[in-house]
Amino acid sequence: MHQFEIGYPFGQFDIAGVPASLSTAGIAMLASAGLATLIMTQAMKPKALVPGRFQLVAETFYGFVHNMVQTTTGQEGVKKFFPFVFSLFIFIFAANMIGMFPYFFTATSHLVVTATLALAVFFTVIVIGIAKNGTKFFSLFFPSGVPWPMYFLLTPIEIISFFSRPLSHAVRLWANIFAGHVLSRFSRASSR
Amino acid sequence: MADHDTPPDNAGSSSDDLAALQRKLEEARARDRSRAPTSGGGSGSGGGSTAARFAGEFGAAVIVGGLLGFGVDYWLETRPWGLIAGLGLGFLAGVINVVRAAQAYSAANPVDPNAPSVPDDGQD
Repeated sequence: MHQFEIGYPFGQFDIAGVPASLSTAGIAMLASAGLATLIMTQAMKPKALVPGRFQLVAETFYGFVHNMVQTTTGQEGVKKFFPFVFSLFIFIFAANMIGMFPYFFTATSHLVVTATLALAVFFTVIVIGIAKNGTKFFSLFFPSGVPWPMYFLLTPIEIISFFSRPLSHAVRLWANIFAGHVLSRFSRASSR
Repeated sequence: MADHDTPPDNAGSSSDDLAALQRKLEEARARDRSRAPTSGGGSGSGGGSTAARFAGEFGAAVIVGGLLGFGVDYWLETRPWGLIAGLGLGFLAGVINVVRAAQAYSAANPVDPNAPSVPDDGQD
């Protein structure tokens, strides 16, 4: 389908043998990052005690993500993880919203983009987990309270379960957006 | 006659009014609190996204299990046993993933204790 094809509006070129051309996917991602930054900074500019329309939207987003992170990571964790989670949230939201416009590109309808975001989260979990818990991080693969012969079965299962998480995260967002766009394309084609 | 009684009553009841308002506020807050978990479960599209999520958890584990098994085959040249074992273990991991996701969902969306055990289908 045409809307999922990646184009090169500025042509394809290499810099020192590395492909460096700006594709429509790259433009869409830059635009969503820029749009998210612009809207959030502009909306919070008045810093009013009684928020206006835009500030209310920004504060609702902030409160929604803050609540979500707080319920999963607690009072301490929300301070450390909130910036990352909120950037991710607002970037994905902006990318999806940009994709709603006809002739615009939806970055999140490509598995590479969602897989990269999922892997970013995955490696964050691994790095922070090992940094905070040391070797105790690997006790994730050895569930406590089971007789030791069970580890021959449980450890592979836990490892598979751990590594399946980024795939599941990536596929969930990608499948939702991709299926939505295909469906809306079909409904347009059949009504003609 | 009853109207004559209200002025003296009213003068002394401004604190009663406040108490009544306070009670109403508490009731509304309790109602809001009991409703919050069910509406805050991210199930805006009627549970379809939750269903897709569970399916994804299961499928991802099977795929990753199969890939890991295939990788073991590739390095140890034990084809096809690694793939077979990997797919089996991936299946188990998928079931565990779905059970965990469902448990997390149930913890986030507790069942209303006053709800009827069987939803009314309007057939009797």
